[in-house]
Amino acid sequence: MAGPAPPAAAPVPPVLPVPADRPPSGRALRLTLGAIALAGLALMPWVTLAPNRLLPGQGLSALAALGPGAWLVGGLVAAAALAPLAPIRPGWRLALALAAAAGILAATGLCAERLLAGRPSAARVSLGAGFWIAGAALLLLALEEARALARRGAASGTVAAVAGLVGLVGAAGVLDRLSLAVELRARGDAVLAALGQHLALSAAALALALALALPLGWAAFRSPRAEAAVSAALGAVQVVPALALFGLLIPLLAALLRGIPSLRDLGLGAIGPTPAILGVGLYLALPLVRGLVSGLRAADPDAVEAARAMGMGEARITAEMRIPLSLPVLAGALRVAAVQSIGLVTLGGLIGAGGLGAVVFEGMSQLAPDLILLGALPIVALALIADALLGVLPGVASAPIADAPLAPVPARGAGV
Amino acid sequence: MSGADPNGSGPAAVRVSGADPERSHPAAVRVSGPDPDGSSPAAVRLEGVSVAFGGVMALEDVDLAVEAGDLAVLVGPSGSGKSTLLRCVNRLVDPVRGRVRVRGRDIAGMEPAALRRSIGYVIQSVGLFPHRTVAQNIATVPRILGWPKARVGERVAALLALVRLEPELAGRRPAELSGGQAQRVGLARALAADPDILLMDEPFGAVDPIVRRTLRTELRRIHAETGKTILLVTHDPVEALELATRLVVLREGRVVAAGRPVDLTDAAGDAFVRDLFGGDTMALHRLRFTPVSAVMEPGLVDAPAIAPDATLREALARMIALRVTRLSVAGAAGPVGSLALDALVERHR
Repeated sequence: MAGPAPPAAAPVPPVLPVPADRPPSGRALRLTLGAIALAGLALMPWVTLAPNRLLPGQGLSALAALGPGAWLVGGLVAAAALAPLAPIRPGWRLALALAAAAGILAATGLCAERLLAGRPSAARVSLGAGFWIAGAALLLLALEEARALARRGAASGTVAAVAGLVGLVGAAGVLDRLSLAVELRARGDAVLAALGQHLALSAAALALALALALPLGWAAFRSPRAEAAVSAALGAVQVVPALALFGLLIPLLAALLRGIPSLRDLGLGAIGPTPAILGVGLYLALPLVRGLVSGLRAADPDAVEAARAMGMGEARITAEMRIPLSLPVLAGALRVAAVQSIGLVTLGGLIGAGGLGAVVFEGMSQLAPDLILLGALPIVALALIADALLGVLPGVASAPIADAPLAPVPARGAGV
Repeated sequence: MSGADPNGSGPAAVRVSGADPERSHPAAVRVSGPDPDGSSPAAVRLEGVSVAFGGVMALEDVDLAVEAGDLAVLVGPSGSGKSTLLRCVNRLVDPVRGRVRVRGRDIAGMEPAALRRSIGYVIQSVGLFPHRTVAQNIATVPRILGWPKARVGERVAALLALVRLEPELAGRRPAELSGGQAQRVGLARALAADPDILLMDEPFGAVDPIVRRTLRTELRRIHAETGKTILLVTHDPVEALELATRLVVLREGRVVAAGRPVDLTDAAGDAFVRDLFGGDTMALHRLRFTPVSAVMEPGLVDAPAIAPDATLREALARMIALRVTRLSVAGAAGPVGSLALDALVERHR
């Protein structure tokens, strides 16, 4: 290096004061999220003003879009962003993050009214990159603050609160002039139908995967040879990209249906829901088999040995030890598979299976970003809801250690 | 039952045939005890038992009889086949040759599950069921046997008292127990259905030395209180000497010696056995087999006191610690005699 010698390394003072009551873990993350929210607000286009739903529009900064209200919103976001530094309770920090999220939503909805005043009715105000970035950062910030509360259900409660806020602001008509809401009014029924289809497809694929995984997982648990075979077969499926798998299934199903036409009477088809459910189900079988096998193996070999030595047969050992001990692991795998199922079924839109994927791909073909969002946002929401709902399962199975009441002997003993 | 008596004053019990009489002390190989077809069969009897694992012989031609009420300790280095021998008794392992009789019946024709439910089993790692409470763990076999709930509850409470665990522990999970507590629960679980025979495979191997010592004392107490026939495996010769009413020494799948501890630790015995029990220091271990009362002299002396039922080992330790060569022997009723160092050295067994 030719430059001047760097100054002698001085002892670095701690950047952040460390509160004594709680380890500072996660605070750097929360400060970063706050900074991202502020940057989105200050630097990125907040909304887009377009002459109609298809033409690209002109980006407006938060200041241009929100007017003087930008300062109010900016103050709220800044307060939420800097809250991790303040010596206040985590509950208040969570409330601040939620208030900031509600603030940007309401302010943006209200500004659409003002921006569209005097313009043709086809004109649209769409949400810009700045809004999405700031909104996502605030949502994650709220979730992090909820985690800092270290209370069961805080995260799902936060998600519910956000959903409630959006619903409340939307119900008040504040969001009506935003392009997404206009699109929803035009396509609401179709989106709702697609949502139902999407759920049905995901559930069917998950049920198929479970129906495959239970016997295969049991066989794999009992015999190493079966495990190798199942692993190889399902592993090969994973290697094929989802779309290619759907493509492969279509001619295979077509040939099958030509050979056995009566299958059509059962509602099977070479395109549409059949290949989508079949393909996604095949994908999900692997994580479920893995979860089942590792769950069945979770039983301590010494405990199994002791059970055998006490005169328990294999059936009883399985029923009383392997299955109860495997449930938490299996529930975890089921949760992952459910979320994957909701995501993968989206591709079914390309082969005529319907669902929210169809809405997304229609939006893509029309180059209508709001229609894409109208399909994509519910998919994300469904995945989050499924994750939160199924996240309760493993907790239920492994929680009672702390909750077990120290009841008197005869009652517990008799209750075996 | 006098089964807990470490001096092994019970009936001659462990029978070994096929061992070289020249290598063993005559008293160690005692061909006695009832006939296999007699009216009072041994609790556990192995006749010419051999076990092979993939062509490797784990046990070869083992003959052994354990009488009811014995605490038989199988001791030997790792790989000597002592655990395998234990597992033959409840059919966790089936021999390739020979016969195993339990309570006089050949177990080859018995249903393994039923046999196992009638025999308690404790292993080193305890193997408690992690998803069940202490009470539920203990109640395992009674529940399988279909006992009424009230009786199971009473039994669990009684067993917790027997192994000296707080009743409050009944609702805990195994993860919330200390190592010593878990071992006690394991023992209670093995005793739950009141089996007359108890198999214990290195039961104190996983706990620290202090807890270990306590648990040994407890086991001797429980053995004395319940009169169970116990087969216990250990690789620790001192533990074996402390617990056994009958000692069985194994080496490379064969029984090298069997008999009362006091007989097996005779200086004239088998070289391997002498090595196992401490070689030249083995004589110190033997001091535990003689009580002070057996060698004390009548006259009263003014010296530090020791109880008449203490062992010579304790007496010697006391002399060394206090730097004296004479102790006053004093029971609850006052002094009864004296013990001199030279008498201890000359007259111990």
